Amino acid sequence: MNTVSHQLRIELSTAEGAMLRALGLMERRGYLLQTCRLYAEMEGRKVLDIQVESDRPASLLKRQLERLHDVLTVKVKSEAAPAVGKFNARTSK
Amino acid sequence: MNSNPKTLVKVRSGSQLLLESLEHQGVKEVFGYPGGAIMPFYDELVRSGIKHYLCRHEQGAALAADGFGRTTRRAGVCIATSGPGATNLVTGIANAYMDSVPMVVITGQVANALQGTDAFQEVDIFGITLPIVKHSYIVRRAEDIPRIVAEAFHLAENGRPGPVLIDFPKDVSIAMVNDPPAPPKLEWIPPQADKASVAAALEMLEDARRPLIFCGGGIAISDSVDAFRSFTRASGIPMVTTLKGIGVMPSDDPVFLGMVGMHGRGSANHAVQNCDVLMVVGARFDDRATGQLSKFAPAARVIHLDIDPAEISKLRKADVSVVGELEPTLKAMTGRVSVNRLWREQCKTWKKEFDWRYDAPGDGVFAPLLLKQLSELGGPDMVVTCDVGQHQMWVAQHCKFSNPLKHLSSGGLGTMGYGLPAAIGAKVADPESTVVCVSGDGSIMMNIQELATLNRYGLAVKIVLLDNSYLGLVRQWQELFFDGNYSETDLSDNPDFARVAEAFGIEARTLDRRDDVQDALQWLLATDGPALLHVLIDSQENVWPLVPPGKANHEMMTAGEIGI
Repeated sequence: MNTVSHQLRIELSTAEGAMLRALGLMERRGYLLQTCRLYAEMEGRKVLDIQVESDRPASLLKRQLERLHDVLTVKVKSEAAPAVGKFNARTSK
Repeated sequence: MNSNPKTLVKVRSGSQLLLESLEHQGVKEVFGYPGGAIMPFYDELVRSGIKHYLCRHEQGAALAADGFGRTTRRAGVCIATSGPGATNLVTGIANAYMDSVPMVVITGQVANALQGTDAFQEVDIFGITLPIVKHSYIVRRAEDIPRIVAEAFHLAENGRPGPVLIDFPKDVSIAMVNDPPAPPKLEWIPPQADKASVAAALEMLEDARRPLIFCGGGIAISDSVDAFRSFTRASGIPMVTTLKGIGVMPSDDPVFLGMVGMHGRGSANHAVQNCDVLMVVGARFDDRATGQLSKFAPAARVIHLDIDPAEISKLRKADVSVVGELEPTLKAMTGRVSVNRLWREQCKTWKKEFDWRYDAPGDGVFAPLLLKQLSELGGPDMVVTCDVGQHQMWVAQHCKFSNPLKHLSSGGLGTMGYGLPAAIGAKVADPESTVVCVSGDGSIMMNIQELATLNRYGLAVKIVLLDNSYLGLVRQWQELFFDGNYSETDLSDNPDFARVAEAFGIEARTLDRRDDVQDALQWLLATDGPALLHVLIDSQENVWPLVPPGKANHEMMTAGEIGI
């Protein structure tokens, strides 16, 4: 499969281990971290901009990140993630 | 010193506060093993209202907590000290994570000031377990304990359950807290599926000519068994299960076609391969169930119901996804679809065609038949825990279940050594129930020390130990796919397991003749207290059918094909 680059912005809580948890998930789930930028903490949140490469969709990574208790929001900047639960019944495989 | 009784403050140590917080969560039993860093907690534990079960290895404690959690659907609690105590829990934590079992894990830790200095029995258990926990905490201040414990149980038990770790440094455990804060009240609002996706699912089912339900452990986990049965019986749609889905429908129900996958029943595998709509309920397309994923249900459009959005389209694209709590979703769908008669008849034909056979030649014990007899003798309320290997597959195939919480099997991680500690957890959770651990001669040795736990607490767990003097499932694969190169699977130097059990104070018998099976099983179930039945079986016996690697599920190998 083709490897595609994805850019995501992740808002994290400031809890201990939050960034490690998020970054570790990406690599374990098959998304190779290319760049990473952590912004100064604001209003009890950390903002992380990341670029990853994978043959897996960004939408799946987004949903896996959103499972983490410390992850507040995830935005896919380079790929429009399909909304969960909105597939059309007539859509073919 | 505060001398005014009206303003007396409560003073608690961190350990007392942790115990109070556990009691506040309704914890009455825990499983663990003491050691250096967790000693202040254990010092207080004996003065609390919580009953501690001393397991003889931390892995046993973690797997017992898993068995407790699976049985009760409440978080099982396990405790260990820092360093090796904590790392010994890791397999049990991973087991709970893979099978979505609610668990709260408490590990002692060296004092905050010593962390990062390679102190004695220091290990970064928080870091080690990051990939295998739903969440985790390091307690930095004793004041945070009520909040952390409340959050840990909330996270472990709600949504898709899982293990939550609380790392508890020694200085925090002895720190004194004045007037500790009350635990927060946390509310869980179950996610509800949106009406549009439910309508889309119903529309697809209405259009289907050959619909099939493929269900997994999520139904039992979410306490949706009744809703699932109502939906399925009203619709008449045939159904198959994963290993963890066994019991969501009684095994003898006409719509139930069997377990799907590598050692699934032919009727289930053929139905999956021929269906045109596959409604997946609380399952995650595990590779043991799907076989070669690209060949799984090749003609089917997929409807996927799950509480976890991350499971949707992870492995197989969902044409309709319905994300939310299963029970209300299934209720909303009940009575609104039906299935055509021809497809139902075809599935019935397959079920008949692929019925199990018990007429094995010889007079030695035939394990599938023994397990069928055990199931009939024990009845529908018997809890069966398994280890991992051939016996685990035979239990899945030949024991009858009418409640998924009565079948405790390590599905995702495949943990040899799971069965005995899981049985301890299940028995503690429900002391009145009949709990049978079906194990193998490889698996039992992984946690055999827990026989001492059975004896210590008089836990009447019954063990059926199927002994073929091999790592049977690996041996089978070596026979079939590695040219009979039986590398390191011969266990013919096993100890005499009946004598081992007796040395632990447990009654035991050995069985080697088919004619004696019924009497031996009756003895096992009737014996007061724990008992072990050591069953010698043919070392060449294989589990059939088997889907070879890279094949579709309908391309099953059977005993006849290779001349057995």
